[in-house]
Amino acid sequence: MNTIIKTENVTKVLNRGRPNEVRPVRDVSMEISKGETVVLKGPSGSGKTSLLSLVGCMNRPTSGKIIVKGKDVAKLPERFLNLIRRNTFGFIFQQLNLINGISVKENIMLPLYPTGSGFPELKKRAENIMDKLGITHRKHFPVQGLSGGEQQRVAIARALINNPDIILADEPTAHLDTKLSGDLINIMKLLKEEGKTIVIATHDPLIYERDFIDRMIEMRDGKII
Amino acid sequence: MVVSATLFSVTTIIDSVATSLKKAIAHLGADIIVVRADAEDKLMTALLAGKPSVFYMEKSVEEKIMKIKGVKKAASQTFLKTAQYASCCEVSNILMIGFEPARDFTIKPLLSEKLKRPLLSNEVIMGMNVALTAYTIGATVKLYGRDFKVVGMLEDTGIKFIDSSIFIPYSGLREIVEGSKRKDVKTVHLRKDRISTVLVRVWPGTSPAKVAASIEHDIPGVKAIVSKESIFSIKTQLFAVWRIILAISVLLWIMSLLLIGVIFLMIINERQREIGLLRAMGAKKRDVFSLIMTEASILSASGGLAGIICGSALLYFSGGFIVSSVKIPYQWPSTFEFGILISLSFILSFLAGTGAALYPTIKSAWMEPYDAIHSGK
Repeated sequence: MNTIIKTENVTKVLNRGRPNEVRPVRDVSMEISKGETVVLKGPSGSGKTSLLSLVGCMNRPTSGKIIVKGKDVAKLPERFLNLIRRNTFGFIFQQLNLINGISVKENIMLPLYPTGSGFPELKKRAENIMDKLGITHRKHFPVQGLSGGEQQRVAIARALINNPDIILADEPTAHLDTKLSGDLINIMKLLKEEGKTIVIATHDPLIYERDFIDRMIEMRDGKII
Repeated sequence: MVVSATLFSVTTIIDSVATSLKKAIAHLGADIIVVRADAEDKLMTALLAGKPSVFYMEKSVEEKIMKIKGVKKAASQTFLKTAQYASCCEVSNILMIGFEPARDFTIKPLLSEKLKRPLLSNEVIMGMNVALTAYTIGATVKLYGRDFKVVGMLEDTGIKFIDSSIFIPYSGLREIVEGSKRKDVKTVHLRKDRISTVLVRVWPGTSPAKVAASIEHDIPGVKAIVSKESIFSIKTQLFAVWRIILAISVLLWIMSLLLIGVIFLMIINERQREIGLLRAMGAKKRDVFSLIMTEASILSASGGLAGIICGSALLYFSGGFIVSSVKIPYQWPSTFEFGILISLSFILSFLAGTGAALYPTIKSAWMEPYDAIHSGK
């Protein structure tokens, strides 16, 4: 089996040593194979988002190992984490987290700026991904003027622009209606067909009951159950 | 902006006043100026504000001063104002400074073109400001009903007291007094044995302060003002004012630093989610840091420049009023000094802006992406 993500006894402690100390992730060990689509399932506060952020190198664990593509990222210096975040992961956030005031194209091109690629290259990649997701006609529009479905596509385009190996999606259908959730699922299916590894944190049955999901990891109180 | 405007305008005013004072006293060319004991303030007003002011003492003072040990040269001057709103004088309310050409050692060195013969009784020398009103060498000016030929012009000293005066030999002054007894001319009440000041030069190696003390001791009722000491004393007063303003400016600077810091903290907090997003997408801490600091630099630089422009406008439109209201001379600094003042004000305001942004920027750039996104929600 070709493991792309592996966690060993990962624990995250917040406010350590204080009366309000919490452990959103406790002693989590799991493995995800390349090309696999996995759902982290559990109620609110079960630690799904925290685990997703640890796996995506957006936060550091208090203890344990997180191995991404064979490298232990838990103790990796910041400069290497930047590269991993930039080249390996594509994030789809619960709130979409688009930047208002700038256009669709600028939002999508945002992850490319730190790469230092030339503008023609950035433009070409953005045009391709917008074509793929059917939002080219909206490229010069400010994102706040788009419909919910269009905003969702922009968020997905932004996650895919760097052609990442792993897509991390945090409650991607939380603010979507059934129709838009269906569209999103179709895009996920396409990504799976392209061989992307997808990790989705959700408690929406619309997602985890679908047959394109390979595996479900259920969480409660920060632990895998 | 406020910091650079305050620092720039205040420092420019103080610097120019100090320079003007130094020039004013240096142009007088005397080590000691002797006046009637109660006329020191009037002399200073005339010197510093260029306001025509007349005061007199006995002419015998000049001879007495000449006998005091350490005195190399002494030359008296007698002040007289031209009549105001009278047809007998072409120039109104101007200070005429009478002097003895044979003894003079202060006026002739200031002539723009040297006069190679003694000044006649119907000849005058003009300060640059008076000359600018229409007179050139060879022109005639009517003073108390008498025509005087302009035979010399002083170089532009920038000192109102010198530039706005007409210098006339004693013989000419006496002719004015005699002539004013005519019915068609305004009467001048000036006794022949009256003078206004005695300018003294001491022998090299002699202390002007000691000579001044001897003058005051030997000649009752006079005040001997040592030029260098008065520069020093005025400079000290100016420095005290400057220190107060500097303290206020430093306080302003610190307050601005805190205020800009708080504003940046608020701006950055508002953008925390975006910053977190950038970091999550692979932007380095350094990228975020330079992004915010570039913005802070642009804001600080524009604030600094705006402040300097506002300060300059303030100086341009109200500098004259401020200076005249405190009765001090004022000259714009040289281009070089201006450059230094502008650079200093700009650097200080730039440092205030970028310095204040430093802490919130570091705090924000060093946050973990996940924490940044969540704290920005």
